[in-house]
Amino acid sequence: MIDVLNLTKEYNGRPVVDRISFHVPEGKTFVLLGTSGSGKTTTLKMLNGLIQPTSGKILINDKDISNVNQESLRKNIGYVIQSIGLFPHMTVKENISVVPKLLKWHPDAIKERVRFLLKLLNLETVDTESYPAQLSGGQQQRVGLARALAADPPIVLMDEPFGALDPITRTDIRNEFKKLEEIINKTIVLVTHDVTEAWELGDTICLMDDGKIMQKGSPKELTWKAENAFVSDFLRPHQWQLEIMTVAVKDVAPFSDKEISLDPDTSLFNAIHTLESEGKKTLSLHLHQAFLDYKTSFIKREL
Amino acid sequence: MKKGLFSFFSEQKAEIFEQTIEHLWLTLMALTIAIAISLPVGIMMTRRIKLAKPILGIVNVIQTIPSLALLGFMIPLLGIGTVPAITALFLYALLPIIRNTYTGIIETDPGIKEAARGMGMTDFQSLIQVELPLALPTIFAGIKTATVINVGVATLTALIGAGGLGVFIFRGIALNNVNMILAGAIPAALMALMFDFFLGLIQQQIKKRRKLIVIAALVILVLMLGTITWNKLDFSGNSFKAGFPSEFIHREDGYQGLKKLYHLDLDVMEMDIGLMYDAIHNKKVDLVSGFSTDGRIGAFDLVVLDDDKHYFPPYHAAPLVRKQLIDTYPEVMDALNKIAGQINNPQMAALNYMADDAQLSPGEIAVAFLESMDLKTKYHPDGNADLIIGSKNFTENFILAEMFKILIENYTTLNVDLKMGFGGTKLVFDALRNGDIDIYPEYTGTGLLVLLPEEDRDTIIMYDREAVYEYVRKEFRERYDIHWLSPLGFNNTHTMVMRREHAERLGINTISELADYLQKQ
Ligand SMILES: Nc1ncnc2c1ncn2[C@@H]1O[C@H](COP(=O)(O)OP(=O)(O)O)[C@@H](O)[C@H]1O
Ligand SMILES: [Mg+2]
Repeated sequence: MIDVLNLTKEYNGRPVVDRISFHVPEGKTFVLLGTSGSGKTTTLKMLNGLIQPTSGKILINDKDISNVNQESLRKNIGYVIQSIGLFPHMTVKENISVVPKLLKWHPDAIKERVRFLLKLLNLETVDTESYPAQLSGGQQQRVGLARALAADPPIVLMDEPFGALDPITRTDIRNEFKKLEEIINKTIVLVTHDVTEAWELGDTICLMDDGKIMQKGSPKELTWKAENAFVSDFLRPHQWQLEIMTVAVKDVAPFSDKEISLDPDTSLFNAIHTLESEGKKTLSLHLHQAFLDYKTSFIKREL
Repeated sequence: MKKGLFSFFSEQKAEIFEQTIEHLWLTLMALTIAIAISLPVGIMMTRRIKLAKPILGIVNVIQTIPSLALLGFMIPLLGIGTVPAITALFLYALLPIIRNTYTGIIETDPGIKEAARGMGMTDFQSLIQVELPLALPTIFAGIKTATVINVGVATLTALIGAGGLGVFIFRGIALNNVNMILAGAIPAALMALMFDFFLGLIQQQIKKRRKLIVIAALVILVLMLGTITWNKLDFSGNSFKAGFPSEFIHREDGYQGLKKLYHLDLDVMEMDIGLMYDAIHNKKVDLVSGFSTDGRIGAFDLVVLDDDKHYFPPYHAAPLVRKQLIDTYPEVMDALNKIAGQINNPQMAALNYMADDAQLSPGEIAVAFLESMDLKTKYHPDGNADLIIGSKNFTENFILAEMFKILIENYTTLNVDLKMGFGGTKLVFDALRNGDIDIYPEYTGTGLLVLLPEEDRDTIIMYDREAVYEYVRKEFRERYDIHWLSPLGFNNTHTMVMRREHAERLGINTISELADYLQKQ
């Protein structure tokens, strides 16, 4: 779906995105992860033509985007911007309707779509005639997401979509987001500096530093097979969490002497989380133990 | 203040209303043109940032020109009347609107601009749907500033014959009439406050119902302008225009009396004396009130209409001398009499013209004239004066005072100092009575109307040259111990002046013929 080849962007001769290449398959979520200033936003904005690359190529459905009309390119790519960027002079309804209107949809179809998205994003309680300033941060973020999804684009670019939220709201919205039917079939490029977020949402994670790709791969690959010191250093503070996020209940079941009555496909992280919240401390500890045994055997196997 | 402010207002309400409307019209007309030009320019600047600095620089410079100077610049370029007035107001309105349009758009949150482009809006769509609506309150603030500035500056456009409430203010200053000043100042201040208030209100509301308010504001503006303009077009059906200075319009012995005596119905434009001749020359007006010895009458090829009903009293110039001086130095009288009856109207007009346009000094002109009469003209410097000659503050009086000095110094042994430029008739006359000066050139008509009490005037024949002279001579001697010496010959009275070509084409030689002509119109 999206192919990026040797993409470079220089400002005043200094590359801020440095010869990066990647492929995003249809329907998958691709995460650009990195510290602030590593070139994530610049990369994302080159994908919808808001920034012109210094060199390199971007193909979408095998077509070089520099050859297509930039406005129609953008109308067909959903975009959630880092600062939310809702239009303060438009109502919630008008904000969400922007792209369908530009695409000259029928007013009834727009109305129907707005209603659908509000329901989907749990915004039914929000007055559609209210203005962004009247909404909470979480509501604004959802409206921003609704606006990006409004015209049902096959590709959605998201720049720190949950960035402006407090940690609790952020986890909530993220969890809802993951389950959205509307999202599951779309090709998504998501920018974040939050490792947990990347692991939760990404099919592929691309860790960037100083404009270069340090490693790209599945969450599992990055967790268990760091390719260089930068990656392992970067992930070290989160290592334990990332490991239990990338291991499923069924992986550790063989190392347990007790019957585990949990969904075998759920991640260990979620399983432990559920058990703790239900107050089942012993069972949780038991799972921990099983994980440690799994890990030891895993490392032995590697050796 | 003889009369109360309220009774003055109710007496003058028709004209106050008319000038208020005129004021409003000037302001709104200039504002509309300024908006029509500033908005596109301001928007264009946000798209061509390189042009922003020079354009803002230019409109900033325009803004710093003092309003009087700007109006002054307009005269050689556009003459006088509404066109230069609106142009000046328009120039003042540019800066606030252009600057606020530009900054309003430029300062739109970059995140919001990025969102607009990211949604796939073209530059034009982003401008119309996002940037302009968001900049609207700022743009409106600029329009408000421009409006309030324009209401203020429009009080000055009366000076270039464009009317408006300034008419009352300047007339009031000229006549030293506080009520009249207030009749202009109060409505102008109220108008500024009202605009400030209502536009401020709109500015607050515009964030919510922007489309409705913008459309409503535009409709109101166009309706107001349209209505006033329509009415003005009706007014100007009478195309013959007169331009008079405010003092002349309002004095009983000026236009008011003239109108009654001749049944003259003129469309009068009020204007500064200094502008009248340019105005008639450039066909902005067709009739002005002048003085018969004004040099510009000949220079601009104008004609004086005959005052066939003898409305204007004679204004024969003659030296006015303290009796004491004549008692002490009787030879002064003989010296001054050398030019008695020697200067006729065309000659005096020519001398005045030399000062006004040939830029010679009054002293040089006096010497040249006396030489042409084969009189001695040795010019003594000031110092050790035996007597002092005064003058009023205008060219002709300066020239005459210089002549008196030269004559006395060449035909007596006395030394003379000059004390020129007294600000008004009363001032120079009081100086003479107090002995601060000994001689000054005065006019019989002024002596009659300004310096003597009103009671006895009707009993004498006001329009007979000899009678007036004899009357003031007698009265001044008895009342003030002051002598009128023999008149110099010319009669510098008020006159009605037309372009020669125009008067000949219409076959008008006298004021009565003019009145007839206007009646038929
Ligand atoms: N318009 C620009 N001019 C110069 N430098 C820029 C510009 N935009 C971004 N940069 C620089 O490029 C680098 C990457 O920026 P960005 O892509 O926004 O990083 P990230 O989104 O990963 O935090 C930063 O060092 C930033 O300062
Ligand atoms: Mg960024």
